[in-house]
Amino acid sequence: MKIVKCFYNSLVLSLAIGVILFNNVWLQMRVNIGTIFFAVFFLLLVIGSIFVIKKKINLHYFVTITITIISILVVFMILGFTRLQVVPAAFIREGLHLPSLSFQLINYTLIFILAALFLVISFADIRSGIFKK
Amino acid sequence: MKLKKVIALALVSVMALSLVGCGAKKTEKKDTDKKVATSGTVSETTPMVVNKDKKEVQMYTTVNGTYFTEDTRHGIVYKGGSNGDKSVLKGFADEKEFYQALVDIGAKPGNNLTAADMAVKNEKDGKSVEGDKLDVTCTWEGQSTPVPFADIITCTAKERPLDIRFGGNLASAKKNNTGCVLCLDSCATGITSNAAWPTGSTMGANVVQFHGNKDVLPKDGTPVIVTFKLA
Repeated sequence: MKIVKCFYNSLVLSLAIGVILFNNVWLQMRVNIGTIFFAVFFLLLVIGSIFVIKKKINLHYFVTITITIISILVVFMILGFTRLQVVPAAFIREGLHLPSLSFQLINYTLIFILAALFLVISFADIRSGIFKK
Repeated sequence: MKLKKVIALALVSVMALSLVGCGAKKTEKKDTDKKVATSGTVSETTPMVVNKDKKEVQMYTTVNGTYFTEDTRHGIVYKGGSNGDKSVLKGFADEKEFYQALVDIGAKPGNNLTAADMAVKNEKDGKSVEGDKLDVTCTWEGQSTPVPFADIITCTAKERPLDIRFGGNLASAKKNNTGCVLCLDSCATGITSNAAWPTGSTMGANVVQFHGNKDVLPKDGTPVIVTFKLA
């Protein structure tokens, strides 16, 4: 479960970082933001996993909630609803070098992965009695 | 316990690497990208048709829906170029071959801009691209009447009539490999660009940004045939 939490938080943070970078036109016109997104995700996942396994950090449920809420707020403030349907999907397909992928498919896949991971983490933490402590 | 940790780390690494691995750029279609015909219909496998009699070049492109909402200065970029994902329309023909196609129909390049011209910070210091004027129009499935290129683009500043010129810039195109076919402001690398906006209008002085017009263009990924005709 520690790795699942690390995977989820790395994905949420790297998506937020990708959105912030993509919003800079100068950078967006010169760099493949999708590659940066996947690189940041990979780095956060590996480094985070090492720290979690070595028990240097504890990904408490409230850390996950805080990262999720702050990331959603930042992304919404930068993009608004219309651009939110385009930007993350645009840099993900750019990073994958699969331009024929539709935004809709990427968005639905992303929502499904994020929602499923969040539910699994929440269910596991509730079962472990986190709210009773 | 140690084995479990190693397995967990290995799984994490494999998952992450598989995602990055998906990013390997496909190059096997390079040969088909270079096909240029002198007659017939333009298509994904024959992305450019040069008609010397009509003095026109047709290019196969697809709509990039990213730029319905995001800022860009790129109208058409060859998908194999470094800016291949940064334009309103993604071109399927190499920009160097496009240069030759324009020469073949009798167009004369301006070649009046340099990299230094692109670095200006004030619109007044910018230079406009020169070269033969081109009429650029678009068609797609369900839209057989040609639509002026100006109609598929919107801009954040007061509209100026689009003035597409054959800038040339072959040496810069070969050096930079950006894939730029049509830039929306005057450009020292794009084979064609818009003289209505001088160099630096977008990236230096930042007085204008462009978008694809979602009220006119078809949806993301739809093929669009672009026709360049000597005016």
